[in-house]
Amino acid sequence: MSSALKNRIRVYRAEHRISQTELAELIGVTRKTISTIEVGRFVPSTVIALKIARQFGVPVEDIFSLDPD
Amino acid sequence: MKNTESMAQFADRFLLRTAIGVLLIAFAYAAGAAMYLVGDEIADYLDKFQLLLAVASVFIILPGFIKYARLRAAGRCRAGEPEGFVAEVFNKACVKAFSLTFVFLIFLEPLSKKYLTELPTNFFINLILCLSLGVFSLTFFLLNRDDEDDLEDEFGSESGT
Repeated sequence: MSSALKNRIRVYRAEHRISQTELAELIGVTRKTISTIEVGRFVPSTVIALKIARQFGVPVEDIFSLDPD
Repeated sequence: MKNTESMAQFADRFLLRTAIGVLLIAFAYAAGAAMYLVGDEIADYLDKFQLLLAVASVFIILPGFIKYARLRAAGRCRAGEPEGFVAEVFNKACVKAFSLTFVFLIFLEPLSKKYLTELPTNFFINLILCLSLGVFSLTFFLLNRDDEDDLEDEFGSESGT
């Protein structure tokens, strides 16, 4: 599990009221990919990260951040 | 590709079927190696079992491979796309199998000279292929296993804090 990269995908999904499946379909990946990103099991590529950020209409830094440690 | 299935889902399904097919091929090579260690009657059964596994693996892998090739030819997907967790797991399994194959060869080389001198070259080829493909498949399934955290969660708390 990657502990260096944090993400707030669940927060934004809640704000936008979309499920993992719906988000996956919107950016062209599978639900499992979204799920494993959220729990830190999979570090997304730059492309996927940017697609997620674009979907929520926020900068990618608002969703992904590095662990300060 | 099923009508309601996305390209990403098809890709994951294709990779999963490939891993299953490779596992069957690993078992086929295991049977091939075992044929040199048993009597003629059992070797005959192993030979048929090997053929059965090879045919099964073709039926598992080939349809998805043909569809994938058609999609590539039609420009509907490119090499390395779509990206995702399963694709990364697949790549990690390939790397693991590649690395361990050399470890197997290094250990097998002195064994073949000292203790297993009566066995033919084909035995060692089957053994190495069995181990290599088996490591790939097992690594893939181990890394791809469902985690208790990987649950559909409509709306949850902030992750990573």
